[in-house]
Amino acid sequence: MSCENVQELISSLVDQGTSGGERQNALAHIESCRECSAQYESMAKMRASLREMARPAMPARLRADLRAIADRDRIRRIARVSFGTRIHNWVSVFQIHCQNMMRPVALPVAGGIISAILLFGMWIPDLTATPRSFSGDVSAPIFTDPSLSRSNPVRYGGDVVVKLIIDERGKVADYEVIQGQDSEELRNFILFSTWTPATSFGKPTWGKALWSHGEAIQVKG
Amino acid sequence: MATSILDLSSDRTTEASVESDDLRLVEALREGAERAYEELLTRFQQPVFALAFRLLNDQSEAGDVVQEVFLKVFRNIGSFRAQSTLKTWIYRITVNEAHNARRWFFRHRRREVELDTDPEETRNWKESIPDRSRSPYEEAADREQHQMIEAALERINPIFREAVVLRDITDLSYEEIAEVLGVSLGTVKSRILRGREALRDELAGSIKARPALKLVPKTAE
Ligand SMILES: [Zn+2]
Repeated sequence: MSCENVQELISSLVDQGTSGGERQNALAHIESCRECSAQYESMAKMRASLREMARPAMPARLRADLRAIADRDRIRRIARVSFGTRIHNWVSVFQIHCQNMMRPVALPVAGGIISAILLFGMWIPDLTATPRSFSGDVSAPIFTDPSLSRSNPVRYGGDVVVKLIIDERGKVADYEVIQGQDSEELRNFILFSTWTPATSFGKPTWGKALWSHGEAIQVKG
Repeated sequence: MATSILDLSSDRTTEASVESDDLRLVEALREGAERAYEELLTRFQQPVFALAFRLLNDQSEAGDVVQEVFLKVFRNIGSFRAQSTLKTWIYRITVNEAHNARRWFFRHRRREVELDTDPEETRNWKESIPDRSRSPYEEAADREQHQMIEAALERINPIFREAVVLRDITDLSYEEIAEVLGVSLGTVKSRILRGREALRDELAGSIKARPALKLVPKTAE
């Protein structure tokens, strides 16, 4: 093997990338040739030094930023997944109502008439009684909007308008700054704020809220 | 690269388990699982930072690139197909982002940097794990050597630098580098060889330029 051949191989020898006879021959040459052995040494040393430089200290600030990026992405993803379940919920609520409406019809025809009479017989006094027995109390609305809970651990006083999506547990699933500056402080506030979730037929569900200056200014389902 | 049959088969089983690990992680990310985000950051934030830092030799520039990389990774995790490993996919994004940053960097800042290169500034990295068994003498020598290598890396052709950094800093195999860069195995081999030769020549030059290589630490720790 010539010096030139060996020197072409040195880089991959250093990487343990050459095998078999070729490796043996090259190493034998290096043993006996001062020039090539110096080349080999210096390349191995350089590789070792480079490997020592493989873990530069990462700024703490960058770690925090990455975590925030991950959080935001996760929230966005969950909101998107949940949008599907929300539609699914609406569909099932609708189905339940259809079923309820259909139920009397589904009864056997013979019993149907009797049960209808019985039902009407029970309903008529009940309907007239309703305003009296529930006086002063409005029956639960079909939809309610999310609202900010009073007890929030973090305060925020910045001048912003934010659109939020609140999940059925009252947590912020996603947000968008419509006016003003997105900031660490704002993000903190949003992440730790607690909300009373929107309701649909009395059950908590996802909802949108528009928020500004420490209170929800306008909400839409 | 010649590998024995035994080696190949063992490679394949580890590859298969890496693939299923990747898929599990990707699936969990798509579902928005908090631990999946954590795992991804734990596995990749340090090596991605090291890669970006060594490609750009600028800490804040590298930080921007790392953020951009993880934004892209999270946003596009839905389109990740197991044709490549998660590792090579993420490093490919990193190399591309570093390219973009570098183009910008060169256009806007190159001249200023060259006009007032401060030797103290090129020292802004610190190895995160100091080796306690080494004397301050040796550490100073190491530090000096690392600085020289850093400067040499900066001066060699970026195409070669990329290959060397992926091999020695990121510790990828030739095959993985080929995948990350989208080039043939032969090209990877020759770029690494040329890169190392260029580095060695640069280092030889800088040693000649500074015959009195100081081994005495300039400042006490
Ligand atoms: Zn020789």
